[in-house]
Amino acid sequence: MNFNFGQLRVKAVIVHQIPRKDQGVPIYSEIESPLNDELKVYIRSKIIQSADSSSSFPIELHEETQSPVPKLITDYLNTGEGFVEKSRAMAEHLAKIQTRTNTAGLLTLVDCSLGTTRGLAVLKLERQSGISVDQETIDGKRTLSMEHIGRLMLTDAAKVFKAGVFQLSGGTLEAVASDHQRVQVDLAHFFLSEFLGCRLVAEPPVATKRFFDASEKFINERVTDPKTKMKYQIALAAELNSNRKQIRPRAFAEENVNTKDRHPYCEFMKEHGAAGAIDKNLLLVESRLAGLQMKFRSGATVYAPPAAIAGGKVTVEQDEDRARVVIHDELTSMKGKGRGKQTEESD
Amino acid sequence: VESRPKSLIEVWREREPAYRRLAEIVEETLNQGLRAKGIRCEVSYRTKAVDSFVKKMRRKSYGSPDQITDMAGARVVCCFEEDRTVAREVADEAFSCRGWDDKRDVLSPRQLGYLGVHCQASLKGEIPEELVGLECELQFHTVAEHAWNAPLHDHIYKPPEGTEIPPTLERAAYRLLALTEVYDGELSRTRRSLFEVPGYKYAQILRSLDSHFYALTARDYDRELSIDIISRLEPLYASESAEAVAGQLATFVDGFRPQLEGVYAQHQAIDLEESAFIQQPESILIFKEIERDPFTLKEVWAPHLPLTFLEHFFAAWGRSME
Repeated sequence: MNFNFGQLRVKAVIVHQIPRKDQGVPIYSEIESPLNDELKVYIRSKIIQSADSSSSFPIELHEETQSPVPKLITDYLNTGEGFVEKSRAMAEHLAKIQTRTNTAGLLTLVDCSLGTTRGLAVLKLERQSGISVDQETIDGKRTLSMEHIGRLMLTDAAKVFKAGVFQLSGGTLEAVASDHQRVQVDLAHFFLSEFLGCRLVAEPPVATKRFFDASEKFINERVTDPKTKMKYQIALAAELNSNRKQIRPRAFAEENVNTKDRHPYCEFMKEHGAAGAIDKNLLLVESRLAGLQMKFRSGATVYAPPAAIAGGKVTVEQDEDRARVVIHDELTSMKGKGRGKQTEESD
Repeated sequence: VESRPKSLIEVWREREPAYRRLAEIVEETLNQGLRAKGIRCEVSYRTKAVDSFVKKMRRKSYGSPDQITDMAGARVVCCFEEDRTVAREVADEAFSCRGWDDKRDVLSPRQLGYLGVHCQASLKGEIPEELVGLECELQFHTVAEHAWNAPLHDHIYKPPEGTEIPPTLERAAYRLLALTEVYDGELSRTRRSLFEVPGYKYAQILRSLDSHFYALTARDYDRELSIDIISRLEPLYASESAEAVAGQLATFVDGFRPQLEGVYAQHQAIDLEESAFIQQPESILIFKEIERDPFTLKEVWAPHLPLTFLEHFFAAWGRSME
């Protein structure tokens, strides 16, 4: 996946208004919305803030989907023709599948380029409101009057919304999506699957394992200080054990990784295909979250539950090139351990 | 039929093209590396002339032309002693260097003599077949050393056969050598003092940004705002000299020129608040840091300036800060 958003240019935009089911009629635009340079730059920023955010994740077209959207997108990216008609067909599909629980929205299609590659951004925006202020003179006295505006479409505060960005790169369709409501599974399913006809590139258990494996690999290969290693390992276990439904590797780095390690960590995750947001699913990693295992060159292994480390009962200290594990605790038992499987003696 | 042995001229003709290629690569690599470090040096190269080759083979009674170590040579002339140290590091990184020889080390405190640093360099990594095993002699001089060496070295150390330099003339040449050492010392001292002038480093960085910015946009800008932002971002480059930062900026601009041109073209003449900040030369420094380490940039920025400002730079550069 190689989206170069630095080269993103907005060329044309069309907006269709889609109400909730049975709550009005859709308004389909018949022509593109007029655009000036300021709007182009503003919309570009909004797409980038969403599609490149830590909440974004790679998606792919689902071959078995009932949605006409994948074909419309692919056709458009292949030919560059029928922007208005294809956008309307997408809007009609959205209107058709809207339920009473889906919010009304403005389906916005953005025809764009990413360098020499043609791109298409599909945004589902919600109307927003705000208060505007203007200078006025009342009875000869200056004042600042306020007005409530309920027909805003994008505001500075709206950073993340439902968005899918598609590009054809060397004949292959690449896509990325972001959805701040992704934690609400039904809503997420609606936008990604029912409307866009797409699915996640990696199933959640696989993506979660990939995040865990890549993070552990980074900790073991790139971090030298044992205390820092332990800190990161505990943070990793805590992230996976937390109640959060989604893992965002970049946000994880900002919260848990030392500043100097953050960028290398994120680059490492990118190299290992684990940089995008993930719907957490512990199926394939649960057994590895029960405790922390430290292995030493001598063959010694120390196992400790995360709570013992977090509570300071087990600490790691560095003495020049040697690590020292100190256990401040009461010894309750001790037992011998075999060497694993013994090979059978030959006759 | 017995083949006759090759003449020295034939040997030279056979060997010279590969050494020329080697010297060209060495010169180009050194220039790139020095530019990336922001060091302004003159790099030149040559291959040994045929007459010099023949004479040396005979004079030294060499049995093999491989014994000539300066068949290819490249010379780096630096403005400052400190730059020579950086230039040596660049060479060490780019090539396999051996036999470092600082001529000053063999002089006693009471002795004057030819100054310069030499070594033998061969290529690293994937080497074209014809250049495997070939070495190029590298010489590192300061401008002052070069000013003495270029016109006088050969007259003093290699006078025409059968002549002897009168002691008074030799002494005159050595008096000049003393001056080169004084000149280099004073030059470095003056430069260090200049760098200690408050705000000088920021102004140096702005000068470097300014030249790139004008080349990209041909726009004027608010100099006071530039200095303010550059000074606030100081922790990002505190451990580096202004020259090193300038070198990084040059490399960055070379690598991202089309993207930079695109950003400035988009923000030209539009009435968004953020465009005023983006149309400033320090934006190049900020974009460079977004590429290099966005997390540290964010951390350095946050205590002084609103993060919403920085967010505009991220978006302009095609990145999300969130």
